Amino acid sequence: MPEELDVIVVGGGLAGSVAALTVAQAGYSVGVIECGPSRSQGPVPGPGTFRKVVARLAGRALPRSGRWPVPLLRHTEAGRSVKPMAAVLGLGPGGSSTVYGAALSRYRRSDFVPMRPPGALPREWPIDYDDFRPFYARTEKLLRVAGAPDPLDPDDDAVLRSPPPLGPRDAALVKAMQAAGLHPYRLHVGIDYLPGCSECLGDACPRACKADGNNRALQQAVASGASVFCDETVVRLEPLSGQLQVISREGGPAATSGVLRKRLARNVILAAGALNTPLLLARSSGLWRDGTAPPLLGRGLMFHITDILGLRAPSDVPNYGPQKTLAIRDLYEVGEVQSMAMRVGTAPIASYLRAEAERLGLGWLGGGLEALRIPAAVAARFLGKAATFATVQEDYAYEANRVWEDPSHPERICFRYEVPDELRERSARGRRIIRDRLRQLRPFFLSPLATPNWGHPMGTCRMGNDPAVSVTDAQGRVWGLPNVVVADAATLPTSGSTNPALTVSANALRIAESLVNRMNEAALEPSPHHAE
Amino acid sequence: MPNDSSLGPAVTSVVCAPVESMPEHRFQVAVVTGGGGGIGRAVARGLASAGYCVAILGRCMEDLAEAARDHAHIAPFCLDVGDAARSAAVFAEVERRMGPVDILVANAAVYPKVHFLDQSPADFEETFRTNVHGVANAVRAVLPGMLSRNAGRVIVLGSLADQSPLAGACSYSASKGALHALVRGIAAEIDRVRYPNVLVNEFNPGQTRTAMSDGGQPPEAVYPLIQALIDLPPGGAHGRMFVMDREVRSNERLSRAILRRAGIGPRLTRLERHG
Repeated sequence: MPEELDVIVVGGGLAGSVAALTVAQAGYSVGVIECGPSRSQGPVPGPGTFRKVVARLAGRALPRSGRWPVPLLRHTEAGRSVKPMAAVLGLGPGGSSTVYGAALSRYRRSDFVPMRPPGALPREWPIDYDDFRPFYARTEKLLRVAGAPDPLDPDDDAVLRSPPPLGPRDAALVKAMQAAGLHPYRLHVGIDYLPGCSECLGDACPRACKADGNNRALQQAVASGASVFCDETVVRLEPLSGQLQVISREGGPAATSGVLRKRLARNVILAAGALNTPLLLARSSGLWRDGTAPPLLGRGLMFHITDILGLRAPSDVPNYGPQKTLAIRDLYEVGEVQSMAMRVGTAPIASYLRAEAERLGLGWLGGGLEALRIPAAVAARFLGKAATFATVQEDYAYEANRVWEDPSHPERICFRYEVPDELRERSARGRRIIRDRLRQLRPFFLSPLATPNWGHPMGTCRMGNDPAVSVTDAQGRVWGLPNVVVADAATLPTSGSTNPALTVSANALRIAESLVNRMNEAALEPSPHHAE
Repeated sequence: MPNDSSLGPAVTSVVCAPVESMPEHRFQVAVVTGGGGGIGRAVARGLASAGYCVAILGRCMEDLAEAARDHAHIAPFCLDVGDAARSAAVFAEVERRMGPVDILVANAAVYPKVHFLDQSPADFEETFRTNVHGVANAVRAVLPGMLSRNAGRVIVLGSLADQSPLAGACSYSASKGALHALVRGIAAEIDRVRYPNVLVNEFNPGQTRTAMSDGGQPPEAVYPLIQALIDLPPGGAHGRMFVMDREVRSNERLSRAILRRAGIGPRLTRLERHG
C-alpha cells in the first residue's frame, strides 16, 4: 500500500522548499522528494591539489562537492558537437540556493511590460506587476534580505534589513560611481551577516547565515509536519484513479539501478528546476488523455548573459569588510550590475584566457591550455586589486533553445542553447556603455563576449494565458492537467534584468498559495476526496 | 544627469543615500586573563606602560589588586575563566566600563604537577576547564566585536609541552595540545579577505620564571614579543604558532617544508622585539 499525501513536491530547492512550507502551514500533508543527500553530514574535505591538477590536465575537472554531479550535455551547431559542462547548480535540500551568490533583487516593473521580440516567444507575464509585489515583500521577509532600495526605482519598497557598513575600497568605488553620475546602492542579498560572516558565495553556508531554501523554508516546513525524502530521484508521474502516483528511484540523479518507490498524492508540485522539471513531465506523458504534452514543453530555455568585469577604485585603498555589496541599475541595457566578490586571481584570468583560446579554435590543446596559468599569474599582479562585478542581461525565449533527455541515458540532461544574434549585439552594446559610463573606474572584462550564465536556467514550462505559447497557466497549472503545478524557475516567462532567485521564490509562494486555496475550496464542496 | 533607461522610469534628480563605511580603528583596550601574577602581570604592566587600557582578569582579587597597584591604566576584574556564564558577564562589564576590547591575551592556565594515575578525574577536568575552555570562553566574548570592527588581536599563551610531555605534567600537556587545534580552528573560520585585521595566534614564551617554573627568563622579557604580535600588520600572521620570536609550523607537510627551505613559498614570520 503506497503512502498517500495531499501534496508531493518534487525537488527541495528554493521553489520546492517555499512551496512545501506554504502547503504544510495550511495544514495539508506534504512530502518533498529530493534527489540529493540530506544536509546532516558535516564538512567533507575536498580532493587534494595533486588529484585536482591531474584531473584538470586530463581535461575533466572534478565536480565540486555539493554541486550537480552529472555533466550537462550542450548540443551546438545543430547537433554536430556535444560538450559536457558543469554549472553552478546545487543538490540536496536547498538545491541551487545553497551554492548561489545570494543576490535577491526584484524584477523591475519594466521586466513585466509586454514585448514582442522578433522571432522570440512573447515576453509577457500572465499577471500584473502590482499583483506580484506583495509576494516579493513576503518572500523578502521569509528569506531575510539585507540591502538598500534602488534610488532609481520608485517601485522599490523592498523589505530590507540594514547591511554592515562598506569597506574602504567599496566606499571609494561608490564615490567614484556617484561622481560619474551613477546611482549605486546596496545590493539586495540574502545574508544575515552573523559575526564573522564570510558570505559563502558558491558554497553551502554551514551557519544558516546565507539564505537558502533549506534553512529559510524547508526546515520550517518539516517543523510544520512536512516529510523530506532525500536521495530519491523522481522518475515519472502516472495517473491513478483521480490521483497521481509518483514513482521515484533510490539514489542520486545519476542512479540507474536503485529500488523504485511509489507514493500517491492528490496534487503534485514540480520544482525540480528548469532543466529537470520539463524532462520529468515529458517522461510522464501518460498524464495527458491523448498522450501528448504541450508543444512548448522544454522549449524557450533562457539564461542570462553575464559579463564579468573588473573595476578599479581611483585611489589605492585597502579592501576588507563585506564583498557582495553594490549594485547599479543605471545602465538599463546590461541589467543589474552587481558586486561579484571574486578576487581577480590567477584562476579566473586563466579560465578567461582558456575560454578565449577555445573560441579561437585552440580547444584541441586540452590540458595544454593549463600553460595559460603563467600569463594569468602575471596579469593577476596588475589587476589583483580590482573589484569584480557581474552584469545580468536579459535573455528572450526562443523555441529552438530547449532541454531534452537522452532516451538511452535518462540521467543525462541534454540542451541546446545558441546565443541569438540580437543578444550578442545587445551584449556588445552593453560593453560599450560600460566602457563609456564607468571609464573613470577603468573597466576590463574577464569573460568572453555574450557568455551565458549557466546557473540561471529558466522558462522551460513558461506561464501564460494562451496555451499556444505557454506550458502552464497563471497559477502554474500544466495545461490539460488539473492536479500538476509547476512552481520553479521553469515557469518564468521572462528572464528579467536581475538574478531569478527572489522572483522564483515569490512565484513559488504565489503558486503554492493558489493551490492551497483550490484545495480549501474543494474541501468545502461535497466530494469523496475531501481533506479533514 | 544622463539616464540610459529606455523603459525604466524617467529620473530627474535622485539624491544618493550617504554610504556608511567602516571607520579606521586604533587599538586601545586590552584584556589579559590570569593577570594577577607571572607572565600575565608582566604583560599587563607592559601594555599599560605602552598606553593601553588594560583589564586584568583572575580568580584571586588580592593578586589582581597587587598587580594593578601604581598603574592607573590597569583595572582588575575577578573571574574564573573556566566559568562560561561568568566570563560572558565579566567581559560585558569590561566593555561597558572600558570600551570595545581590541586585544586579548589569553594567558590564564593551571599546571597541576601530578602523575596521571594519582590525579582525580575532577582535577583533570579542572585543568581542561581553565586551560582550554577558559581560552574558548574569552575568545567567544571578544571575537564578534573584533570582527565587526575588523580590528583585533587574540594572543593565546601556548606551549609545546604536548610534544614530549614530562612525567607529572600529563593533564597540562594534553590541554596545551588541545589549544593548538583550538587556535588554528578559530583562525580557519575567519575570512582573510573580509577580516584581515583580526589576527589570532598562539604564542609560546619559552621557559619563564613564574609560579609554574623555577628557571628561565624573567616574565618581563615576554611583553616585547606580545607587543610585536599586536603590531603585526593587517593580513599578517594568523592561526600561527610562535615560539619566542620564531614562527613554528608543527603541522606543515614535509614537501612544503622542503620547498620553503629551498626558498619557494611563503617565509616564516619573525617577530621583532619592541624598542
